[in-house]
Amino acid sequence: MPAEHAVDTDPNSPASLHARLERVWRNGPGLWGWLTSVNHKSIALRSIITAFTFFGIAGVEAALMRVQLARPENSFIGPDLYNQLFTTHGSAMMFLFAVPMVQSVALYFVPIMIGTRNVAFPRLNAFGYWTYLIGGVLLFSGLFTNTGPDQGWFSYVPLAGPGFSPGKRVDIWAQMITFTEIAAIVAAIEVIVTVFKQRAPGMSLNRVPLFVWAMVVMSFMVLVAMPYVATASAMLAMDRLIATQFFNYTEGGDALLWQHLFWFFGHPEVYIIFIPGLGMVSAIVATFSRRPVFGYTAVVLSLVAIGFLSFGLWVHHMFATPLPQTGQTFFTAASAMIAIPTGVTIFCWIATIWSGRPRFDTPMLYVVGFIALFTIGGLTGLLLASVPVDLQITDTDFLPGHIHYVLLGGMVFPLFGALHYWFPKVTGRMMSERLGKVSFWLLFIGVNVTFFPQLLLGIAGMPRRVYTYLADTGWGGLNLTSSIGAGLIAVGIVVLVINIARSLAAGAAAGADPWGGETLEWAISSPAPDYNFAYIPIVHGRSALWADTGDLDAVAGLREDRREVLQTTMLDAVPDSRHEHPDPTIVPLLTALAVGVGLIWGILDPIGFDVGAVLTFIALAAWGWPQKTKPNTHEIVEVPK
Amino acid sequence: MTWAGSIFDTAGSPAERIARLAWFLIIVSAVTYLLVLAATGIAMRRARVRRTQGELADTRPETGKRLTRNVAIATTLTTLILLVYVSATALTGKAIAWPLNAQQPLTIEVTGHQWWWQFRYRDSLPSNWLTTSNELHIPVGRPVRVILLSNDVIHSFWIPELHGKQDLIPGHRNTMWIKADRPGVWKARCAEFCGHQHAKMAFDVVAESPAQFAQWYVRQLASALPPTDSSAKHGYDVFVQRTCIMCHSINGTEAGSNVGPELTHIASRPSLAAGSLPNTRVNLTRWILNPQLIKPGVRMPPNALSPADMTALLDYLETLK
Amino acid sequence: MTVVGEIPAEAGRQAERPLRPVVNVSDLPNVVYGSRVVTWWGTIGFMAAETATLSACVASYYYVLRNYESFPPLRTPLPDLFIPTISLIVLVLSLIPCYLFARAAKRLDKPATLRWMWVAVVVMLIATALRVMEFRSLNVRWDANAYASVAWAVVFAHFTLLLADTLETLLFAVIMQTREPTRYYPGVAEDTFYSYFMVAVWIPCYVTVYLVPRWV
Repeated sequence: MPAEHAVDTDPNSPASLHARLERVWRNGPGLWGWLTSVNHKSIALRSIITAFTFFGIAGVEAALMRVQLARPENSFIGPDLYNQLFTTHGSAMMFLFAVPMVQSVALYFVPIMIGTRNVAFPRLNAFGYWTYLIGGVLLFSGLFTNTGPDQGWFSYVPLAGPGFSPGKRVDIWAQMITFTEIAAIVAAIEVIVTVFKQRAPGMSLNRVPLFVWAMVVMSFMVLVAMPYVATASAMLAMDRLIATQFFNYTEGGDALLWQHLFWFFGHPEVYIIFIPGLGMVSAIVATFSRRPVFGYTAVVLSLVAIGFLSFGLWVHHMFATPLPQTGQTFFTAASAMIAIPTGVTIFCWIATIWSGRPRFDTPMLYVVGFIALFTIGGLTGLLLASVPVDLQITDTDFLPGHIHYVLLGGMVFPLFGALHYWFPKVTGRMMSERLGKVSFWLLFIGVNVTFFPQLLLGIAGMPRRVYTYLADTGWGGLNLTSSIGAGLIAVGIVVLVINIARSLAAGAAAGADPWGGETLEWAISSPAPDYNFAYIPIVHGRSALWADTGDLDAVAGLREDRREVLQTTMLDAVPDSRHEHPDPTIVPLLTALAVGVGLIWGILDPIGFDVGAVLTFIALAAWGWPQKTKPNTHEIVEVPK
Repeated sequence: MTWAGSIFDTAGSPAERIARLAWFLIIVSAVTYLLVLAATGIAMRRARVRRTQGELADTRPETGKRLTRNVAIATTLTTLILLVYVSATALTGKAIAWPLNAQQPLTIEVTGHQWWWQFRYRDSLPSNWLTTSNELHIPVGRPVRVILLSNDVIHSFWIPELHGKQDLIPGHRNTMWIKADRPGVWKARCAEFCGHQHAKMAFDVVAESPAQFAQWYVRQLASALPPTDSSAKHGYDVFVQRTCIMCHSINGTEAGSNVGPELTHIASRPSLAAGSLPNTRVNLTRWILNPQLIKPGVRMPPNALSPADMTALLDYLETLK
Repeated sequence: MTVVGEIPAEAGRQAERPLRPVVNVSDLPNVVYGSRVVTWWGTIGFMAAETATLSACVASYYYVLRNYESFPPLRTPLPDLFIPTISLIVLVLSLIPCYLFARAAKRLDKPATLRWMWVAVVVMLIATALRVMEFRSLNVRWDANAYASVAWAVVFAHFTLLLADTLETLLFAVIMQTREPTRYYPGVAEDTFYSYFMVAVWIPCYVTVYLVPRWV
């Protein structure tokens, strides 16, 4: 990569171009620059690190729980702390790790993969991150001050209501939901609009990489599903703070209303988490099999089908409630149906591997691990979706077994594969293959040793969410095995972290394209420059880099003295207009703080909401206020016909 | 297979049908899983051969057609398996539905409390209605209609040997049916997180012959007899003068509160504290002195009793057979 | 598609792919309208999320309705129709100046845009005030029973949309009055697009809260 300050007399040389673009697109200096950044990679990277941190804390909580359960009638952790641990473990993993992590990976790589310089709304992106961070800090502040939520991550009423959960624990949970829901919706809008409007010329919709398709589908799901949990949690907060009666049966409310609202979100939520994993697997399988994924159209249609179908399954979380029996069987059938497009995607990857020339580096190992683990998760899911069997095994330890197989197998394994795959692009260094394989095997074996016994424990009659069990149940052996497995997972994560640290310090130089990949991110340097592409590339086929060898056709004419991106048409990506992006600004952070003040103060006193609303309006006014027009601005206006 | 306490340790018809379906689905799942692994393994093997022979990836149209055909076959196979799965589910669902030609069922109203169980037997004669706690007796061979109510939060009623679980939801009236086909003694548990002591909210289930059940019923209906020996008499005084009487009832005495479990026949129960402890004198002492050490968060406060009072109280409680 | 070779043997060797400009886009417009602008799409995204939120509230309303034998519950009065209907009419009428200033903005006609924007702001402020009065027309406090809570939820959820739109229009009006940046005209035009949505989505909510209790 050309040196940044190379003295260059030729204004057209790549080095000069790079210098000009860097000057325009880089973050400001120091802490202020960090706080005001509107660059998608900066924001995404810090979001990834934040999500991984929450993952680590939640993982420690899991380890503590497994220590408590390793022996019957253990006194390591009492019920109150245990309930806080399992609640914040689940809530943090679902709301502070899984969704933000996959969205951050998307916000980092989707713009590069589609050939643009930033996401569509740079300031909104920053706002989304700060909002997410505040929500996460809120949850764990609660835990560390013994006001951690303790009602379970899906917070059933009336237990979570004002009558049975005094104090602020549940309110903290409800507001954490609000923060993370805002952040998730913001990220979803970013992905959708960026993909629709800023793709490289020539990248028609049928040439969009599968990872990008997966993130678009997931983002649409977020827009429809997240508001339901936000509405539910707002209703819960209002029942607790201002005495509304949504869930109070003595005044016409209904505990089941909560369950319907929550699970209407909750079931799509797990597919929201799973579909990005499918996208990551697609990216890895193509590169490492040395061929594009087989059945592109089938995979895209399957992703869309999964997205739609996932909204029709939610009642399978409620089979033990007094809902009509015939209705319940419909949901068994719907839950079965979603296995078909899921199967299609897996079959297409197997076909890709079969006809490819795969090399089983660490990312591919994680793909095979995904197939092995997720299939167990999916099949146990079918067991749970069958009403009669569900009535026996739901709410037992079988359920944590199932969900961890699908979540670890379906999302974490693809994520770790993607980590090893994309680490070189982000950092410019390769990770250690040796340590990568070690951590993979530790995790693969660890996951099985931890969670297979839990499937058996559920069948054996052990309920879930118990802080202890009696010795005469005979469950001690399987629980101890599960706890040992958790130790293996912990070691595996430690090895992974060591791998990351050592590779950051002294990994082999990666170059632009260590894997010979097919998508645009491999065309630029590692790490990528702040502006991504010196010229916006033109794409001639589905596999952008495999369609052409040698130089890539590109588009010139975007300004080099201010942040400008190219916008293209939605279907065929024909260049349509140019758009100036904002410079770094502190306003998104201030807006997030205003929202934070409102939502957090509001838990303590309703006046806080009003204050927060006013502050937010002021911040938004500052956001929308026009900055002074820069000199040499040539506005070319095209009014509608 | 009889893995004691598991969903396969069946003792009644709904559980048997469910266990059969579960086995079927587990086997189908295992076979499917092996097929998927095999397909993946074959793909990896084939690809390794390609690599060692120095061939590049095969993206020819002919290969594409073959792969399309194979993916189509796999998808069709998946769909067929799922159809079988849904049919088996529907059939089993129908089989375990409320038996329309059931003989007169026994009706029991179950009320869940944080963290104990209340059972009310609704005999045809209202004067014969029986209320008891934490111990459920049912006659073998007779269908039992269970009505599920909750006093506070959502609980779940689950006797794995007899049937799947159903939730007790405040504001809703849920019903299910169970039927024991053989005698047995089992431990049932609450199966929906209900707060601090969800882990220790169990109840004892006894399925016995109709004659034994009738005998038990009659004994349970009987009120407690007044104590005769002096220690038990003193114990009775302790019971009604201290805080016990504020939450517990004993039929035939002035103790009538139904905040906590009723204790009319506590001496005959197999366990204490909703299945948390075997019913022994030592355990009862520990429990009364400080329930918080055994079930932290439970609604029963510690009771500082002098050893003399405690001995007397225990003597009295032991008369409540 | 070219046949793809092996993964490169040594990582560090690959340089970036050189980019060869063949097209120049410097004459593409940078102020365009409607779906050519990302904010139009962003607004659609927010509309989708807001529709989902409102549908959650409305669905809850109908769910709670099933819990009652008489609806509204006994001793709970029906909501008034007068203020809510006036409020609805004013809301619909507010779309007229909105349409007019959008049309003017598409022509870059500053005086017409400003004139109709200020009319729209005034009408929307009236609509907002009427909506605040409408809460009283519900004739019940939010904490009285579940019916009251869901009715308030529907009206309040939509109120946030109305308030946001009013404040946004006001802000734009102030910006256009004081600075009039050319590049803000598309945003001004698109603000009305959101207003159409905001009014349209209110109609089923109005029917649910004010008419359905009279019909069941």
